[in-house]
Amino acid sequence: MKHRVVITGLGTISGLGLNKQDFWNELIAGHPAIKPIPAIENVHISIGAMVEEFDDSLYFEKSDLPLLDRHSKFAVIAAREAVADAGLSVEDDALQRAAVLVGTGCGGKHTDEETYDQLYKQQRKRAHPLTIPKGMPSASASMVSKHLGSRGPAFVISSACASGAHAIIQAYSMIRSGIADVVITGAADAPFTYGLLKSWESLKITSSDTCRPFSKDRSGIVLGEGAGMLVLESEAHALAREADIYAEIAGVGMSSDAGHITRPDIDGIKTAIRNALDDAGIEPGDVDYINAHGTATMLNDVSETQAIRQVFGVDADSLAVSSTKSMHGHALGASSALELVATALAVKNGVIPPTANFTEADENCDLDYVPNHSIRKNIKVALSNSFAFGGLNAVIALKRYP
Amino acid sequence: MVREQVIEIIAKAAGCKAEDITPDAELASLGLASLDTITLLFDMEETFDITIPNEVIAELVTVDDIVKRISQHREAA
Repeated sequence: MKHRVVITGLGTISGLGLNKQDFWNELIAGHPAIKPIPAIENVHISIGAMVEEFDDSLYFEKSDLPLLDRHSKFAVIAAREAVADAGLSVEDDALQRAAVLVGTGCGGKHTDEETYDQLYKQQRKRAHPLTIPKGMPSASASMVSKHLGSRGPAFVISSACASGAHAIIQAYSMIRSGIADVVITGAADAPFTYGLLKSWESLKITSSDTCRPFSKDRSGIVLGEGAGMLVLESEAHALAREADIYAEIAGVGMSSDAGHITRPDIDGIKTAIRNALDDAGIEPGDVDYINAHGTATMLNDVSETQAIRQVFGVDADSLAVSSTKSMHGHALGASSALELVATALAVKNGVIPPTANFTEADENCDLDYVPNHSIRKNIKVALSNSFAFGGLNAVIALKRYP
Repeated sequence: MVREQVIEIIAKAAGCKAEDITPDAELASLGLASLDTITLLFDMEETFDITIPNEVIAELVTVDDIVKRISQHREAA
């Protein structure tokens, strides 16, 4: 028997704010979080969507901090918000047996780089003993399960910029198959480190201006950071405890390009979208909104547009397509989770957040990108697209509930 | 001098006052579990510029054990 899967809790921390209410308010207002970042010597990337400074003591005991890499803090903060939003508490058996699946593209790079800096540059004799447990790629899953008291299966999934989508898809699969009835899932990333900024700089795809997805004068990606976390439940479990439901995850689609390591592949994108539609048992014409991968690179936005045109045919002209990366930036693995949160809120509220910073249409990007201003639209079905470096594609279809 | 410094570091790690720490206090009774002890020894190594071999760690049970071990290293250095 296949169980239906619903979303009952949402949490975010991002450049748009420390909670999901700020996230949503800023998104529908079309306010980008992209700002100058603190200057680092020898780093040319000068803008980003960073999480504002926050007081650790509002979220954590002092004794918790030595084990929390920056991305793990994001994961725990957003997970707690999602759990509270779902009306679950640490006393609940449902939370205590919940699974925790966290996506991350970068993992504990802050911790690793700090230690490497001490060892390589400062020639220190020893590494801090918490470097491994704090910085290991799976640290965020451990920290979320520890701080929520969740003792179900817990692990990290990594697929670059689709990490959140793949984690959520795995969570969905576990509920659908009956392995779990409650899963805390999403993704966290914190890529503003010297080593990562220098490495992104070398790819020459970062904008020095702002993030303008699908706009003719788009100039590349703008990095972001944060976490988006969701509570997924079987429909039966959610109904039994009379939980509020944001949306149903109607289906998922994945594919890999088996090709170029960075160039998007139209066929790979199309396959993932088609697989999601098939899995959900819906026709292209049923889809009202697509939260695009929309990175604002020259290549992505054209490939994604062409793939959408080819899958949706004439129905493409009645679709609303927007990229919220224009506001929360490209938070790598966390982006796909933040975008699913945005998509769930769009479905629930009947409001589509815009593609911000849009200036001029590009003849090669000819869909309705909801430029600069949010629109009201009754959404029956929405897709969230995520296409990662390495050709790892993931699409999640949400359906309005009931 | 070493003793005071060691106790100061332990007090900081345990989150208590130096004057509350007696020489025969066990690290575990101060709330320092194994990973905390490893971090504490790292702090000692950094402060005194010594290396405490893995083999002796199990013998470091009380505050005094650590004071003695570090004093030995200091004298040897």
